[in-house]
Amino acid sequence: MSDTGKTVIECIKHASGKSDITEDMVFGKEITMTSVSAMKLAFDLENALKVDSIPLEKLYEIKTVKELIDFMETWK
Amino acid sequence: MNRKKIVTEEMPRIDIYYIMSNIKGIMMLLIVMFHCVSPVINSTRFSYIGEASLPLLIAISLLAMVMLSAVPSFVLITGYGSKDVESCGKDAFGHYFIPYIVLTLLLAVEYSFVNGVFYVDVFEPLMQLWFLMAMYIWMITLRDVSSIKFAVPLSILLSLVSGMVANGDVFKFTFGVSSFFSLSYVFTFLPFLIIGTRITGATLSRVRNSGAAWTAAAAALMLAIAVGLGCTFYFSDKYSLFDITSIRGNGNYLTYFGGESGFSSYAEVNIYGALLRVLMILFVFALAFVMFRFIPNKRVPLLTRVGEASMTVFCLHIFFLVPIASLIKADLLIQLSISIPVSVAVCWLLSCRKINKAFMRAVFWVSEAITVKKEKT
Repeated sequence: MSDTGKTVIECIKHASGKSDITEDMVFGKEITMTSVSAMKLAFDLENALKVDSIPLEKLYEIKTVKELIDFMETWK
Repeated sequence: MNRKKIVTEEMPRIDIYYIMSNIKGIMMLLIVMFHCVSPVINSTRFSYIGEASLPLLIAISLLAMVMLSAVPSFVLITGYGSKDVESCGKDAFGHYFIPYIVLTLLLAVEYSFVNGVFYVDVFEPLMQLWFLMAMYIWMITLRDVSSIKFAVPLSILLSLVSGMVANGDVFKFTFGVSSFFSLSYVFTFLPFLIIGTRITGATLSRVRNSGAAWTAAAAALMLAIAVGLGCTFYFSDKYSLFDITSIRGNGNYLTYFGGESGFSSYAEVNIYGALLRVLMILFVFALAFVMFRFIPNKRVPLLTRVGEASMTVFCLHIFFLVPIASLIKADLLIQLSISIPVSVAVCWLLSCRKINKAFMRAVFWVSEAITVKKEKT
């Protein structure tokens, strides 16, 4: 896994408070995070990956960790 | 061609993001607007409203009901976004309780500048901070409460019963559910939270694709409730929309519907109060239905921005309203006309990205700072 991938997973663990997270657990069809947690994830990702402000709606589009890693690779 | 479409799949997350944000934006604008005018409503007797014509009273009743439905609608959306009950409970202390304590202290300091008296009581939430305390209680209990069989009917029953025991005046008992720890609000709005957690993407998809007949029925229900209330205020000598001295002098229609007080402050007989609360629940769901049906599913400049920053706007708008309320000692109609631009300006300012980010970062920072991290073994 790329460094970005590892950082993304760590950010998700931190924002969701779940240390045993797996890829399909995070963004399924049902909402699994509150809007507050999603905001926390956006802040974590911005901090960790030194990227500009990530729009929240972009995070809501993403359904799997893999998609998020791909998205963050392109956002960088 | 068969135009009827049976929706069986879950609605994708992206399809409701803007709808939810826009609804939250509208609700937040209404909440701020209502808080701009409520100090005037709660401190003045509007005798001329009592002498108003029936159509005007119906229109005011409809407007008041829409404004008062903002908080329960917000709770409904919060419930929908709180399906991960484990995370909600885990984060509740840092996300709601600590901000509640910090904001209570800050608000007490601001009060002391405006009123010259420093007073803090963390058990009786100041102004709108009851919402943070209620959120904390809801989130830490949500996992257990939502696992109860028949949680929805039981929560409705609890909402009705809590109105009967509010203010400690039922059956001559001296205790009851009051604003202590926001309990009055916690029970009043509990059905909306529980029902919110039960709503699925498929349900929302069905609402979004529902026919005109359902929308017309929901609108007719809202109008019927407003007409009923307007007629009550017009024909009854006992009940008034704003008159705080009409029943026992300890509450009014607005505080009752807002969950602040019990039935006895409005209706002399508990059963009438319970009936009114049922009407409130019906009104809120009818309004939520109409809103979800028609709110655009795209970014709307002010609404989406305010909706995305709803927690920041909710927590910080109080600090603007205390000085504004003390400065503007105006007539209701003047205050109403001032409240619209003031509310929009306050919401616009507080929802700007920099303020929202700074506030939420501060909340997360404090939350992290006080939480003991458990190492994974």
